Formats: sequence, structure tokens, C-alpha cells
Amino acid sequence: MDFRHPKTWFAATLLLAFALMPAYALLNGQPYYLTLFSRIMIYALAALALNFVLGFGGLASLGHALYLGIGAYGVGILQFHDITNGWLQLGAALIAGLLFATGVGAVVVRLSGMTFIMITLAFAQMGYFLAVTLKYYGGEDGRAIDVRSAMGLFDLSNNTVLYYFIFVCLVAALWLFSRLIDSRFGMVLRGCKSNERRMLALGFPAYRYKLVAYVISALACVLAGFLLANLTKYSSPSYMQWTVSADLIIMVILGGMSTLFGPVVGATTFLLLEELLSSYKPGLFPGVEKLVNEHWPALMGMFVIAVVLSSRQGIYGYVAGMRRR
Amino acid sequence: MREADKLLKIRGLVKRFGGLTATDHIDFDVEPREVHAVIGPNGAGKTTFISQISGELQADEGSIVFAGRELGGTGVPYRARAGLGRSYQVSQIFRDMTALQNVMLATQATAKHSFSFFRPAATDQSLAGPAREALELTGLGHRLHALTSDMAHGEHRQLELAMTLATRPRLLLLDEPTAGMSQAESGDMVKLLKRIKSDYAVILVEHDMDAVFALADRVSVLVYGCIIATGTPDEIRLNPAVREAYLGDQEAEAI
Amino acid sequence: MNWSLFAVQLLNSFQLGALLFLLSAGLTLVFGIMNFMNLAHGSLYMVGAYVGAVVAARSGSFVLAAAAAIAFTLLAGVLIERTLLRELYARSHLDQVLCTFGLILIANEVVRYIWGPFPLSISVPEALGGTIPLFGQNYPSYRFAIIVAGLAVALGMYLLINKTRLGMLIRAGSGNADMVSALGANIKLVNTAVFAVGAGLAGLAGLLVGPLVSVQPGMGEPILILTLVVIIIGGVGSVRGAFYGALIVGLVDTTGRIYLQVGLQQLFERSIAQAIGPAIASMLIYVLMAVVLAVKPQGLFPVKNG
Repeated sequence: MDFRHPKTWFAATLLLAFALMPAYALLNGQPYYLTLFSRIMIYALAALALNFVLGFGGLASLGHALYLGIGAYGVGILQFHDITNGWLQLGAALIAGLLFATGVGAVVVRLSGMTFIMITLAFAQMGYFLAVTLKYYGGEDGRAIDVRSAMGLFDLSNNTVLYYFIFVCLVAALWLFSRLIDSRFGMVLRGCKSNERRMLALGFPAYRYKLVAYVISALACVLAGFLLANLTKYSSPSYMQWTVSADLIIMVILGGMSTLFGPVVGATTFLLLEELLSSYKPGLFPGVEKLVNEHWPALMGMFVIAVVLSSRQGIYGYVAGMRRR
Repeated sequence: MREADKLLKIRGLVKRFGGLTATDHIDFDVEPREVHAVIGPNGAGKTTFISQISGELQADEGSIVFAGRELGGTGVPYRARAGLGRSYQVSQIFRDMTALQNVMLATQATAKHSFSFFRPAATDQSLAGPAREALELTGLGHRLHALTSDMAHGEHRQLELAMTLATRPRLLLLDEPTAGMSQAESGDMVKLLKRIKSDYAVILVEHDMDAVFALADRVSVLVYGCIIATGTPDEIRLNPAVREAYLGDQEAEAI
Repeated sequence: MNWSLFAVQLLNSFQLGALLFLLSAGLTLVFGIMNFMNLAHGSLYMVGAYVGAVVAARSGSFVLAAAAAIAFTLLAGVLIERTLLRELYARSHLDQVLCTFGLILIANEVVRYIWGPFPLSISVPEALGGTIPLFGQNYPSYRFAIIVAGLAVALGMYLLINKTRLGMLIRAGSGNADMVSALGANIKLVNTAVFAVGAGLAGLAGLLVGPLVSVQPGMGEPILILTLVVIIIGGVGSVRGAFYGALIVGLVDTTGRIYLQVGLQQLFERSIAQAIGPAIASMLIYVLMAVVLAVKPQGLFPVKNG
């Protein structure tokens, strides 16, 4: 970590803000902030996972929400069968995720460009429909989860404990991905994004590495899904909607695609904006406010278009590109 | 040299694109320490030929035997790991990395596998050492940490070669290594290739006749997908069929 | 084997196939010629349904509604293409996907704002309100009309592509934009024309499906995914592929669903079959798509490039 560079301070400050948020929420009597920022950190984790294959591997997966769903249903399904042990739920979800990711990845990683995007989208929808037709586990509406996962020492039913559990997961993921990106494996991935033709000519069986990267990324997303189900106490097919996958990509681009920390910044910005548009009432023009609150997705849509058309490096990418002091 | 001792043996190679026969029953050999140049007018099918050897195109007919192994049906990575090192006419480098990172990836390719997840690659001396050597050899020792986007075209060609050499191949497929270079730069490249050529078998595709005559042990002339003549550079220079094929082309002046 | 059930299911498959063809023909052409993926295609379908619903309600004429739906989506297509989409052609496919995703969000909210969240309905035109005897069954005339419309459009596309200058440009330019300008045509005009045709077809599909489903915000997305599957199976850029792909998907998703359920009930106990049947049925198309991709990645009927 380079402490002379503004980007390190930027990242550290944001992480510190996350660490202190529960205290802030308590002091201001706003327990909702805890939920909001828990959610932000979960999506940051998912975006981080996606960025590994998208930003560093060049694989534009429009189907990563599938793995969020698998994580969530790991909790939902097992809990339905009276298995409340979080480690078992997570373990089952990870195994399911491994199987799905290997299966989907094997088909998908061979492809590139538009076909890749469309196939990942189609597979995610397949997962969505699968969940919808499983009427046993709630079907289209999903199912409420009565109790949060029992994680031994950690009492997740306490919102603050859950918050810090998520925080630790996020930090652990940041550490893990930073090692991965700088490792030999990470270099192969980055090489494949930069010039796959050359990688093949050097002797790298690119397919193998991209598949493994895809699986790793999927598993991190499964963890995010597990945490999401615990936060919302709900498992629903809507977690797997392709629109969620698209949101994740926007978060990655918004924050800065080829940076480690960018997705965290992107997720924070995106979700805070969504929150602002859908419920903020500054008391200006009542008519406009109501319009914004009710039809905020349209504004998000315009925001998305603006980000894509203008984006060069993303917010954190810009900071990372600055000269060090 | 006996048939069995040739490093690369190509027999009856054919490649068709729709109605066009780009490679028309080519026989071609390379011996372990020779430079076998391939020349020919534009559109003769030189790059198609090279691509079939490197594996980016699969031949329709014929056999390619490298060090006793039939390469037909195998992919590019397999052939690279078997000892085929290709450099491209348009430099295929990693644009967003430094020169050193570029070559370190090439060095890394020689490892059994790259499923190493925790140790940082950048500080790995077993990668950096050979990479530095390759870069110094090709004259980029002072540009290790330059981003490729900050490098000149000629330096890209040097980097291209450094990467190919770093994979420690047995057979070099050099597709116009002096492409786009100035007189001086081409001269340097030729000097470099002259120094190292005794360590490799080389197939050299070139338009630059000075390079060909300075480096080649044998020259084959490719016209419309067929090899019309093979011989020493001097034999080729005097061959009437070759002169006719080049008539009007600027190469004729050079010959 | 219940032949009359089979006949009805077959016809339903063709009807779904016809709708999918209308949607996928346009989308695949746009992708083949301009290398542009328009996810907002489903929104054009939705707009067609809404315009049709409003005009049908006001005027009582289904024909007028159809004309309005096609005209409106055609013009909307031209407008969007000339303003926003032009900027995107040069960009990466991911950027195109995300921008058109943004358009979907906007379109859904605009529709919701104007007409509210509750579904509108279009009545089946009186002339087609009855049934028509086919294969010994009384099949709804309206659904049959959709099949006929689909075939008519298929014929029209065939004539357009093989017998007109625009069609020649389309065939030449598929995947090769330079070819079009090399042939002396104004590429921007060709692009707009192709996009407009696709938009119009989507609008028509939306209108046609109106009496059968609920016209509501977000109705475009589910059918969009199916359309993508059709294109992938058929071969991106190929109208022929769209035709056969739509047919295949229509068959698998309709007839396949029913007979899978029947088959499962033969093999398993009823309650199990009822639990897993729908799940497997909904996955059938995607499994088919995966198999096609594994065996023939360019699709079953890819564009033939010289």
C-alpha cells in the first residue's frame, strides 16, 4: 500500500467511515443507516467480485446476480428445512455456486464480446426462472427467513454484529483480491484482457485461467448473497434479476474499472444516489419531489447513460490516476 | 541432413478460403540452426503460411511435424509450449503495462502453470531476472519501466522480439521483424538477429532484402501460395523465375 | 397420444414463434449490420402495445391501432437512432448494453407516468373473435391470425433482403460496415432504415400480443430475453436464423413444456412431477441454447460470409 498516494487516503477514509457508521447511526438515532450501509457494503463486495473478471479479466458478465441468488437461497432453502447453522448454509451455497459457476463458466468463457454478454444474461435468467418455479421455496415472491444464520460466536440477529461481520467480509475480500490481482494468476488474467492473442502465442491456455477467475468471482458473489439474505431476512428471485447484474456493472464502471477499490466507491455512490432519489425530501417543489420519488428509476436510467457516455476512469480511477504527493 | 533430423517438416500444406487457395501444397523444412527466409510479393500468402505453423489457422490438408511431433489439430498454446515462438508483423504487446511487465509475462509462460494466487509476481526475481536479460539483449535495458504507450514504434518491435525470445523457443517465427522501422533501426535489428541466430532455428518472413541477405542460410520464394524456388540467397538472386515474379515490384530493384 | 391436444400445442408454438420472429428479425439485423445490441428493443415492443391499446380504445378500430403502433415505433426508432444510438456504434458492446439498459428504465417510467402502473387491455378485434377449425380443433382465429402475420412478415423480409437494393446492402454489410460505403450507399441512411424496420416490427409484435397479455410497464423485458435466446440459437445477424430460431424456441417453450410435464408424470409420482416439472420446463430453452453454443457457437443458421 502506497501511503504517499491520494488514492490510499481516499480508500482508507471511506473504509474508516464504514467502520464508524454504527456509532454515527446510534448517535443520530437513525438505525436505518445501519441497514443502508450494510446493503452498500454487500453490493460493494459483489461489485468487487465482478470487477475481478470484468475490470481485470475483460469478461463482461451480465449474469453475476445469479450467484447473489444462490447465496441467498442457500440461506432460504436450508432454513426452510430447519438448518439454521450459518456455516452449513454458506458451505452449501458455495458448493452450489461452484457447480453452477463451473458449468456456466465452461460454456461461457470460450466466447467473447456480445455473445458472452448475452449468454451470461440468459443463464442468469435461467436461474431466475428456476427460482420462480420452485413454488416450494416461495416461487416468484420468495420467502421470508425467520431467523438469521447462526454463526457460532457471531450473533447475526444483532444488527450491529451483522454490520461488522459484513465489514470484515468486505475487508477480507479486498485483501484477497489485492493478492490475486498482483499474483502470477492475476497477471495472466490481466494479460488475457490486454491481448489474449499474445497470451495464447506465449503458451498460456487462456481458457483455463479465465474459467478459474470466473469461478472465484462467482464464489465471492455467493458470499455477498448469503449476507444479503441475512440482512433482509428474505430470499427472493428478484435478487437474480438481470437488472441487478446491470446495476453491478454500473457500480464497477462508476467507481473505476481497473482499480481494486473502485467498485466500493461505485457501489456507495450508486446506492446513495438511489436512496436520495427515491426517498429524500428536501422540501423544495412538492410536485417535482413526488415525481422524483415515484419515478426515480428514470433518473437512474439517465444517470447510467451519462456515466457510460462520459466515463473514462471512474471516480476512484480518477483519484488513482493523480500524482502522488 | 537426414529427413529425421529436420526440426520442422511441412508436407503438402493446403489452405483454402472459399474459392481461393491461399496455400497450395507447400513442402517446407527448417533445420535446427538455420535461418530459412520466406519472401514473396504482397498477397502471396506469407502470413497465412506462418499462421498455419503457429496454429492460429488450421490447415485443410498436409502435415506439420515439429521435433518429431505432428502439430495438426493442436492449438496455439500447445505449439508455443512445444517450442514455437512467434513474433508478429503488427506488434502484439500489452499496451497498459511496462516493458518489464510485458516480458515478465512471457517468462512466466515458461513455468509449468501460473496457478499461484498469493505471492506478488512483480517482485519475483525468477521472472524479473530473465525478463531483464531479454530486454537488455534487444536493446531495451534502459526502458524497463517505460509504459508501452510511451514507447516509439521501433521500441515496440524490440519489445515484441524480447517477448518472443523470453519464452525460450527452439524455432522462431519472425513475421517481418523490421516492419515500420527506419534504416538505422532495421540495421540494429539485423545486427541483433545475426548475434542470436545461432541459438535458434528461424523462419524469417521479410520484405527487407538487406535483412534477408544478411541473415538467411536458405530462402524460399512464395508466389500465389506456391513455393516457386528454394536455395541459398545467391541462387535465389539469380533465379530467372524469381526475377520474373518480382518484375515491377520494388524488391526487383533490391535483388 | 392425444392428437388434438398436440395439434393445439403445435399451433400455439407457431404463434409464439411468429411473435418471436417479429422481434428477433429486427434485433438480429441491427446487430448484424451495425454491430449494435439494442436491449431497449423490448421497450419498443411495449410502446407498440401501449400506443395500440390507446388507439384501439379511442377509435374502436384494430387496424387503425396496428397502423398507429407501427408508425409510432418506427418514428420513435428513427428518433432514438439519430440522437442517442449513433454515439454508441463505435463503443464497446458493454457500453451499448448499459446505455440501452438506461433507456429501458426511462421508458418504463415514462409509460408508468402517463398510464399508471395498472395494465391496459386491448380487445380482440371482432372479425377475429371466433374460432377457426384446424386439425379437427376449433382454434382461436386471432392466434391463427398472428401466425399468418408472422409468415407474411417472413415472406416480406425474404423479398426485402433478396430482391431489393436495401436488402443487397444488408447482405453485403452484414458484419462489414465498410462494405456498405464501398458500394456507394449512405451508411447512415441504411443504419437508420434498418433500425426503423426493426423498431416497427417490434411495435407490431407488441400490438399483436396486446389482446393476449397484460399491457403494462416492464412487459418488454421477459420477451427480450427470449428474443436474445432466439438470436443466439439462430445465429446473430441472420434473419433466416431468426426465423428458424423463433420456430425452435416456440416449439420447445410451448410443446416442450407440456410434453415434459406429461413425460415426467409417467416417470414420477404426480406431486414430484408437479414440483420439478415447471422448473425444468422453464430451463429447457436455456439448456438448448447452451447445447447449441457448445456444438455450433456461431448459431444453427449463421450468416454465410464469402
